[in-house]
Amino acid sequence: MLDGGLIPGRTYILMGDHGSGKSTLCGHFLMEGIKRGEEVLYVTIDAPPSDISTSFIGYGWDAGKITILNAHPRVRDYKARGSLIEVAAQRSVSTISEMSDKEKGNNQALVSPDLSLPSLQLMLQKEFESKAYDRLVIDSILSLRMLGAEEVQWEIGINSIFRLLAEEGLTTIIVSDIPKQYDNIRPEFILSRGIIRMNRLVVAGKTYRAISAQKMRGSGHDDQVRPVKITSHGITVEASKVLPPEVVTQLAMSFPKP
Amino acid sequence: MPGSIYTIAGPPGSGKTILAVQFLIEGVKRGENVLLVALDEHPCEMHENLLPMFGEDFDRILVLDGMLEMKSYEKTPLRDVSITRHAEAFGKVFPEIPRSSDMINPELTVSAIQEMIKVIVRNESISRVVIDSVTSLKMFMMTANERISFLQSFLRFLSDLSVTSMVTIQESDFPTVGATDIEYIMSRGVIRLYRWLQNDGFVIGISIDKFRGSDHDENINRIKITPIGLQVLDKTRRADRGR
Repeated sequence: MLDGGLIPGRTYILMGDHGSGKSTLCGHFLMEGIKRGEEVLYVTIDAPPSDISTSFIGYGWDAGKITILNAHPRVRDYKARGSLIEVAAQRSVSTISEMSDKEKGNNQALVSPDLSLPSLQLMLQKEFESKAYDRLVIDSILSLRMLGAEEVQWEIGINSIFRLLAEEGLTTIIVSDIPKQYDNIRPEFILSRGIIRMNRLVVAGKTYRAISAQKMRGSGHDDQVRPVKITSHGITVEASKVLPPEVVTQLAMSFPKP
Repeated sequence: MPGSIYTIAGPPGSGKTILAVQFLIEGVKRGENVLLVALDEHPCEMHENLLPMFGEDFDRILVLDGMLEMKSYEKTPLRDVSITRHAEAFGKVFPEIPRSSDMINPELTVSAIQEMIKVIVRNESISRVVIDSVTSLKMFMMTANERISFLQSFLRFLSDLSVTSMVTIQESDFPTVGATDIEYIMSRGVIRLYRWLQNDGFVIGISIDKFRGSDHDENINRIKITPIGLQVLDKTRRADRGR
């Protein structure tokens, strides 16, 4: 569908509805790297790492080599706040195979600094110093954006993180939500080298999933919207199939003809 | 036309950059010197993406890297970036994104970019300039008010350069109809790109919303991004570009 896939060293945006298969697609992307002997990093912000590992292992993947960086905002204690540097120092990295349930329980004990784009950047920089990675997933920037700073701070932070990822030469997928109709264009969409969109629709009581490529700089791509199926081994893009017309009609409401 | 500004607006993936580069290539073919100010996509990646489309003419476009560097989030003295950057031909762009400066964080400012553009236009006798995108340039300004007044003065600055300029504007997937943004008011021509879902495939279209002093087609014509650039599908007439 992507006609050669993602270009190495570039940063892509994956936007999608809840339950559309975003994290699973990211898992496929990282597992592909592992198959090729690459170092891969999964930064989880919105979901606890144990959830991610449970689902990956559930697909029967040998996900033990995926390094997980837990950037889940800690439970807030409403007391002292850490500085940016402290957050960066608190990062907890482990591989999926090393991870146990203890990850879940110890949140209360720590000071609870807010996670922001600058602290995420510092965390990543620190992690890149300790290991050279080839592939990276940041899942997702939704809560960072919602909790985060003003628009201008967001623009500066996004600019800076995209630059870091390009300089490090990582192939990255950043997971995002789908913007609302009257949202302004976001800086992460402008700076991304490509945008992939995943939709989850319910039509007449039945759930459908769809995937499409929106912008792909420097590589050709399929203009069609393709159905996506979730199986026990992950997700499958049914590249030769088409969606039922009633599903397309509903999807087309988001992209009306001008 | 010297001193005129043309605007290309459209959502991600609709072909704004390609169209703007076609405008510059047109100049190259006529033996003009042309400049592209890259604010959304690093020149080395642009080179990789667009060289196959435009061939050796592309390498003759001068490009100025206007991308912000990484923030160090530490307090460092400011230094004007114009000391460290200059325009060079696409054919000479280093194939990798350069590392952000280690110790001192050179602060890229709009006035530094303006100054650089002015010097390049004068020294290289530039006749066409593309700003891709002016949306990113706007992001250098901190407040909404600053952004409006900045844009007015920046577009006036472009006009005073006596070159033909084309600026791209990043829009969301849902273009607002009848926008009265300052870009539109100050432009001699406005070209809009659209992207919509037709059957189960995405298609793109183009319309000329405004073209002072010339008769133009106001309909939306389907276009396609092909390996050799944007092509109008409808037999009616070619989209006006490269004027």
